[in-house]
Amino acid sequence: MSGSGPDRGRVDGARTPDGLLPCGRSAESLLEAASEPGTVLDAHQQRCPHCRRTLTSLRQRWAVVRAEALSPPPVPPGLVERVAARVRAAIREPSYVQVPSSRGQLRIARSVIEEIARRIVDDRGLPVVGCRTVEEPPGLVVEVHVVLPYGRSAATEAEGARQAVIAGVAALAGLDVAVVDVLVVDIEVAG
Amino acid sequence: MSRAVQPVFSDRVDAELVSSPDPGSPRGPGVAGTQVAAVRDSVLVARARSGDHAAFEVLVRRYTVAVFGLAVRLTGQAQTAEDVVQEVWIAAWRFLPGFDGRSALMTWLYRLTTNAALKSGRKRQAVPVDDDALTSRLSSTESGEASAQGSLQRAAVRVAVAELPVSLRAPIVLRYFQDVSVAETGRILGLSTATVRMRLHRGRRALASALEEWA
Repeated sequence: MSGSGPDRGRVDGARTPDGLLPCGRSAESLLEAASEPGTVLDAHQQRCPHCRRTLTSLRQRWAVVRAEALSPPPVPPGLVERVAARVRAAIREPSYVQVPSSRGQLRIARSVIEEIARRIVDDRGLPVVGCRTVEEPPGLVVEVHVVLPYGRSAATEAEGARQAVIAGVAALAGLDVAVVDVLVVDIEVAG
Repeated sequence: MSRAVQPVFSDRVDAELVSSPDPGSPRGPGVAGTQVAAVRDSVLVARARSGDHAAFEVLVRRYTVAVFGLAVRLTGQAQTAEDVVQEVWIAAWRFLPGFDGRSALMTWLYRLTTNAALKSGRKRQAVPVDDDALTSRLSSTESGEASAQGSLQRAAVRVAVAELPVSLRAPIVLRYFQDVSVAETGRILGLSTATVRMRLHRGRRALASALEEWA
């Protein structure tokens, strides 16, 4: 099949303006037969030269998809060890943050703090793709991974997000956030 | 059709290192407190549900690559996919008590993976394809014009899949890249079989159109 012919951009290689094959059938109905093993062709599709030609073309096209499907994505080196270690730490470590109080305990799950931070940063138009919290000197550390919209200053956005997270977590959870680390992991271009 | 990956919708049995619940059981040489044993998923799940971290870690090690495979197809980015994998296992540990075992373990894991991947994907207008991974794949051990053409074609597939709208990408990836049945895809995505078929139809049409020049 050529990519430069008049039918380029169509799924089906149809020849008529209404998108049908010359035999009157929709070529799209053949796409399922090309992609789903075991699909049974009806009598017309089995003998019609237009349908058969289109089916052959669609099967060639779908073979590219199958080739990619059969080629597993490359696995980053050390993935399993890294994930196992992180999961081990996550499920064994205490996952609550203690809110200071003189009369009774208030403990808030780290996932709640992370969700609060995530929403605060998201609401500033800075898409968050990950958020983690750790407790280490000098205190509660919030790490947010963001996508930076193209054209906006990373430094300005990070400082704005930092102040907003500190204020928001203090207001909603009663916790002092010591550090907000902002990691810009990607950039988003509008359109 | 044979695949390069392990079948994932069965109760797998293979040799793993697991903690021994029985003090009198034989131990593997040089591995204190552990033994090499053939352990089914269902046994590991039951142990993990009762709080056995070691059993859970065997599941993590057994299925992380499979979960990553789905996550990277859905997100288009290796780093994001790795974060998704971690999120999936933490969620799996948290929700394991509610996993009743009526669905296969991988169906459940795929559901968690799809939810986590799509949640991360909603942060973006479009999912970019991991350029590093593409470069790595394009410059891999394959050689010759035909191999290069094949690599480019497969790269085009990855781009085309990444550019599908989320509502079509998930069923397409599950059905055609993970070999999940239509019915199972519906269970994973919480959709009727009819809706899955309709979305597969639209997804196939979009993919075929995008890939026309490569045929």
